[in-house]
Amino acid sequence: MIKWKLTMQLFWYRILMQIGLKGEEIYYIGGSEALPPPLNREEEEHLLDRLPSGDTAVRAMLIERNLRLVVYIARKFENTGINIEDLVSIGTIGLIKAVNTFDPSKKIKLATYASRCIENEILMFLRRNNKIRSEVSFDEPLNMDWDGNELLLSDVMGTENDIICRNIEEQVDRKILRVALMRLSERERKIMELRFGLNGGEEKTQKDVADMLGISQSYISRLEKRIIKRLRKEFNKMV
Amino acid sequence: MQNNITDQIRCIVCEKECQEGITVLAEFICRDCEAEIVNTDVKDKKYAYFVLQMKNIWTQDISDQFS
Repeated sequence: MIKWKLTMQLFWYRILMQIGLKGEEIYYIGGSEALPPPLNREEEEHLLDRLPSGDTAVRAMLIERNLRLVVYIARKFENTGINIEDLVSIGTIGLIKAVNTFDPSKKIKLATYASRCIENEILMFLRRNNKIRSEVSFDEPLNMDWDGNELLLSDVMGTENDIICRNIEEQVDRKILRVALMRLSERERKIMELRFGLNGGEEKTQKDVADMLGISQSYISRLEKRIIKRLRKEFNKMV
Repeated sequence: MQNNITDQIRCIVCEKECQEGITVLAEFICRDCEAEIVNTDVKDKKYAYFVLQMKNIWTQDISDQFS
């Protein structure tokens, strides 16, 4: 009797698939009572016997009648931050994989195998998702101040003076700066050396430098701005 | 009942008209897409697309169910 019923159901599946008719049913993930009922042992055995023949109606029925498993397992992962719609969709992919790769000769229950496949599919997705989330660029902006300057991860994570890359960069910058300084007049160079302690000396204030050279502080300020502008121009030419 | 009486049915994954495939919850998945889904790993670029398209099987907006 069950076999006859199943054969009729499979026949109905085939007709639906061939003529493209769609049912009016609405399926609710939240309430699995609206989903097709699970297969009983006899029904499952009958369908699994026919699974290796590649009958699409058999495959479709096995997938559809195990969808409650997908919902049940997906809901266990609701606290992972992944949308339940995505979880159910991923679980459905896992179920399709399970039915397509199930080997009835191994004598394990389809529900057991499918549960593992569905759970594994979701876990693999979560692992992959977490991996992508944990890969962050050193130049990832963490925050922005009122002036629009970005605070980068590298600003807060660097080692002491960023021993590797920054050291090389600094060496190159220093070399370029030295060449640029050679293009200044002797007085201009002296001002820069005193102000910024370029020859290993102490950094002096504009007032100190002004006193040493016997000129006013405002003149030093103007000169400094002009020299820096010129240095920047020389710098850019070389970079 | 939605009548679409032709030999070709629209696949919910590739959205093309196809002849052969499976019907799950009244939605059609063509044979090529089914095979591709089975052979696609979560690491593959196309996986996200399958996750998105497979949501079409579940016709009810499930977010309402959990809110």
